[in-house]
Amino acid sequence: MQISTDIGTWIAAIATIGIMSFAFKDNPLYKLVENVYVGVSAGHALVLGWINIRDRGIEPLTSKGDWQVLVPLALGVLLYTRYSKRIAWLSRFPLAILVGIGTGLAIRGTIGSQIVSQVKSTILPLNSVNNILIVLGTLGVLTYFFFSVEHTGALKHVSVFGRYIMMVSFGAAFGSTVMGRMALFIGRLHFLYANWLGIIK
Amino acid sequence: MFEKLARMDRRIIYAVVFLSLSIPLIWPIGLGVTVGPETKELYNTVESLAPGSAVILSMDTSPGGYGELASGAAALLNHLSRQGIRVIGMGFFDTGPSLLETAFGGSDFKNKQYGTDYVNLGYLAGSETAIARMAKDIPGSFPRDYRGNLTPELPAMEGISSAQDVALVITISSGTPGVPEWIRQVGDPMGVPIATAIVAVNVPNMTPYMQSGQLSGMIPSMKGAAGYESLMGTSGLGIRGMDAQSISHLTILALVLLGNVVYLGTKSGASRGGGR
Repeated sequence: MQISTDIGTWIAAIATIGIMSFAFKDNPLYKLVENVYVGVSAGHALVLGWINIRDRGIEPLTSKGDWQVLVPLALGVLLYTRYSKRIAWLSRFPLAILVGIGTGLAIRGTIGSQIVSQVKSTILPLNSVNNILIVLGTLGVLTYFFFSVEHTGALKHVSVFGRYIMMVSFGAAFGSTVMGRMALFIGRLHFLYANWLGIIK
Repeated sequence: MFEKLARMDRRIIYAVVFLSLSIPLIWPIGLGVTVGPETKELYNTVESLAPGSAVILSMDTSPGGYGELASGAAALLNHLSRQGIRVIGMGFFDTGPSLLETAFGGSDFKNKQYGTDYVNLGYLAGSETAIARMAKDIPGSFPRDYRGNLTPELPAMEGISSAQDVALVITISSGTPGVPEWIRQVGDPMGVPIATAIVAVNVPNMTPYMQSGQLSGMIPSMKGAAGYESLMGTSGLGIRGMDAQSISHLTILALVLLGNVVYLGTKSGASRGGGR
């Protein structure tokens, strides 16, 4: 057993214990660590935001004379006009461009990648249990969400099958979530036992 | 008895889970590690890369997700280092590049030459739009790297102008932008293989991309990292943590069963007592 002498490790260990202590009871150490985390995150994001503007906007303009960057820089400045009621309407222009470009890019990719490719991948030969489950499961879930006709007779059975498939999916999601949370906790415990206390390698 | 159990202090459950994680971590049992097909596929994809080829490694996670992904990232980086692959690091989460520095420092890349064998290009704001921009012009999107060097002057960037010049993209992902965005903007339109190390909570949502062939491999959480380490014949946090993971899952399973028994017990007790 060899306790760490590194001050960074000690700060991280105290912060970890501070956050975990909330499970026992709300306390001043938890509040302190939580506030420090929020503050550091905000400061970090601010600095990186500035570096983005400096490297991709100001530097090309001042050192290379790239006048094109004046357009995004001006649009960026217009975003801040929302702080003044008189000229707040100007902020709608950069917002409209941001939303338009973002939506356009996402839709272009979504149709091909998430609709066409995913539909194609469910058209399978029924020659294995996996393939049969994928095809029938997809049809069952789609039927469950088909509300134009009443679910009676054979349609009801298909719809119920679709509901069971979704329940299996929710169970898998819950199991995965438990696995993820445990993995996170293991990561912090390993840090405390190995890096801080030195009781494991 | 059921009423007493139903009113049990939740901190007792926390303590039980804490012990179920701590004891196997301090005194390992040596339970076996199984390798999932998606992990094996990623291992084979990396194994098939030619030495000297370049790979984009995008750290698309925050510190909250990195705790779960660190073991997978380390295993991947060690494999890429062993294969002699150039790693072009970047991030589309603002915390990504600093976590990438941590990941490089905790892997075999710490013994390699920065700028030649690996590079951290930093953070690009703009989420999916930024990925689309970067894919077309990497040096133009990152004029300087995270350490302030001019990107085009770095030997690691030789022959790299767009995402089409890399052999594989790996996103260490815990949210948005993540796997769907990379597939939409790089994988499908450019034909670049995409792989991921991903937090467990997102695994059910990303598995359809494996089945459709849009993902070339996946390391699901710490379990996937343990499998990857066993394929490489090494032992990192993934394998060391699997005993604790398995025992904690058994504990949670027992607690779920106990919770249901207590619920049914209190319900039948209440009906016997006339619904009091």
